[in-house]
Amino acid sequence: MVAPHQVIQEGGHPIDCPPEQLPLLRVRGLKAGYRKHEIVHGIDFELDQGEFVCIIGANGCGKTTTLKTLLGLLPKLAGTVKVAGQDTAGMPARELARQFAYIPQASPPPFPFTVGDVVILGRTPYLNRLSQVSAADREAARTALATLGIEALIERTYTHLSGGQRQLVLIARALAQSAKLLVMDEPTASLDFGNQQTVLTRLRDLADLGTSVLMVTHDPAHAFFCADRVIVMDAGLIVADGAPGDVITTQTMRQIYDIEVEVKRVTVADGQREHVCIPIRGHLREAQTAGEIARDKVQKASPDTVLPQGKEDR
Amino acid sequence: MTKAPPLVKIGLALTLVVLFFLSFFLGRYSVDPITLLQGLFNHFFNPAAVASGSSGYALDHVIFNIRLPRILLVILVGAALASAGASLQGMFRNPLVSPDLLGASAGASLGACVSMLLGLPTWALPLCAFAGGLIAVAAAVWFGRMVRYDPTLSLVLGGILISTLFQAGVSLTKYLADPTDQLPNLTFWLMGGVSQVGQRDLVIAIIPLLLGFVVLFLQSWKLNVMSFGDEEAQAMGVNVRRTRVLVILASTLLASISVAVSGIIGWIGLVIPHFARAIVGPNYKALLPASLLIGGSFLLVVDDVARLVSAVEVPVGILTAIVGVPFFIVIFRRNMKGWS
Repeated sequence: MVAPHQVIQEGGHPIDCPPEQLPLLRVRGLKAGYRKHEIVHGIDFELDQGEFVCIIGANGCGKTTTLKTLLGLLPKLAGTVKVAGQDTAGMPARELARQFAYIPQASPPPFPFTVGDVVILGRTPYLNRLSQVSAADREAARTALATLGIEALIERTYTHLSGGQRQLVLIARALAQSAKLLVMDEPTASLDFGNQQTVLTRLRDLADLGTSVLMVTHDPAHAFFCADRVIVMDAGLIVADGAPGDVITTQTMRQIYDIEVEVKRVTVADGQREHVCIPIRGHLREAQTAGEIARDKVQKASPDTVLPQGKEDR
Repeated sequence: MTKAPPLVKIGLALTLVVLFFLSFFLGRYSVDPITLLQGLFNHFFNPAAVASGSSGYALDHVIFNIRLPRILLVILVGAALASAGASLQGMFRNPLVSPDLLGASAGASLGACVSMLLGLPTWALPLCAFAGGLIAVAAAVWFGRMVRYDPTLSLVLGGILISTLFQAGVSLTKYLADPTDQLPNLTFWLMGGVSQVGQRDLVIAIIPLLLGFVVLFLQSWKLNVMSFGDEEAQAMGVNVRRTRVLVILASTLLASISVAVSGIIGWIGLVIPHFARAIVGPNYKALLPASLLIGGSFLLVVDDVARLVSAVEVPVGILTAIVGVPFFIVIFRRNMKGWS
């Protein structure tokens, strides 16, 4: 979706924006990680208004680190991050929260908050010093729930909901935050197949309404289902960036996951053509036995590449 | 967005007000409603009737120098311990945390004991208590982070260890104290006694306690957000570090000042927040005021019972433990269902 004050030209470029401000998110030369342990080694990417971008890559390749750095949860080591042309360096948490809304994997709080309580927390960056909730804030929370079709849950206890419902509530909270970009870290990771599809469908619907989304996922199927564009990361670098069908290929899957897959286009309902990514049974990698793989892994796992405990996924 | 029905909030406030007035009538010097009104009238409008040596003097003394400061202090201490406990539980996302379990009470009592042992002036006692409380909480939090184990349990374990250490310090001060005058004072004070409190304690305690309440109330929304974890809170625009420092300072201040004026009164900081949550829900905008009101009312009832139960007053800390433990078991079993 384009901001109301912008007028779209034929080429799709809003005319009142200078060219360098065009993408919603522009990341340049981003290095990220922990002190003395750089994980992301300088990446460039962009995300346009209304675009749904997925980042895929193996555990430890730097996906989560990238997200956390964008969100300001980790200090960046180098590079620039601009949202709508505005540099996020030095932005206070409150201001940053108006740019990015974060949807983590649902991990319930220790106390039985209601769904309404949870969603209205998204309004935090807009509240005054006394944290008074206005009628407009309540309305924003209600609208967010309605957008996802879960307004009936408003009085329910969040901790009593199913995993899929909780995830939808967190998405509603992020919508109530009215940020420019939704940032998600494997939002469907702990859900069953049905709940995964429910959540992904809702996300895709949101993107169709104009919401911009950056989502880390492990599943190529999710990327095919949701994404306009896919960024493939390997060992802290971006190795491919493009339309899902162009970058999720046998070669990239082999490169990042060390597995053999077949990517096919199939015809589904209504004659639509969709991509599927099918792992090939028995072929962990062509001409490689299980024993060889085990030896490979041992060699790879030299001490300096062993990740600190509890931080497996970066 | 859920709100406890307004009637519930009004009911909690009314309960405290009723208990406040009822408490004037309890005690060995009999005061009935008529004499209370007479005493109030005389105090403000007829000073001659309450002058030293006059017939109304004893009544005036009982009402204004003994019962009023005691009642107010008991309410403040109960409210302070309960709201400190509620805030710490949200900030650490840990239903098992309370000022006593985090070591604040033990730290504050060591600080206060040292101050008494050294014979420091009265105003130094709350300061020493606060310093001791802060050191203990900081040590417990540091320990909880150092141990890479279940964070809920390591924090509690850290608090227990630090409490043990500071209690050893308290024992040492008792050992060193002069057995003829210092030791009995220390011992009775540590049992959680408000039988000796007077106007001076109220004056010392009231400003820091009000300060602590104000800080916590200003953070109440952020405590809701912090209940979801540091990363989510920061991504929702909360300055996590500043909020944490403010909440720890304010809660420790409340707990330490309570210890300084009334000794160790356990269980209120752990039990009352759960009880309040069961009544008004976990939203801190409602939970903090409710904890404060229920904490004040609860300790007032316990103190009234302590005054009445026998000719010799039972230290109130002993009673809160006797009432608190079974109460906790019930609340805990009920509330735990929503937590997993």
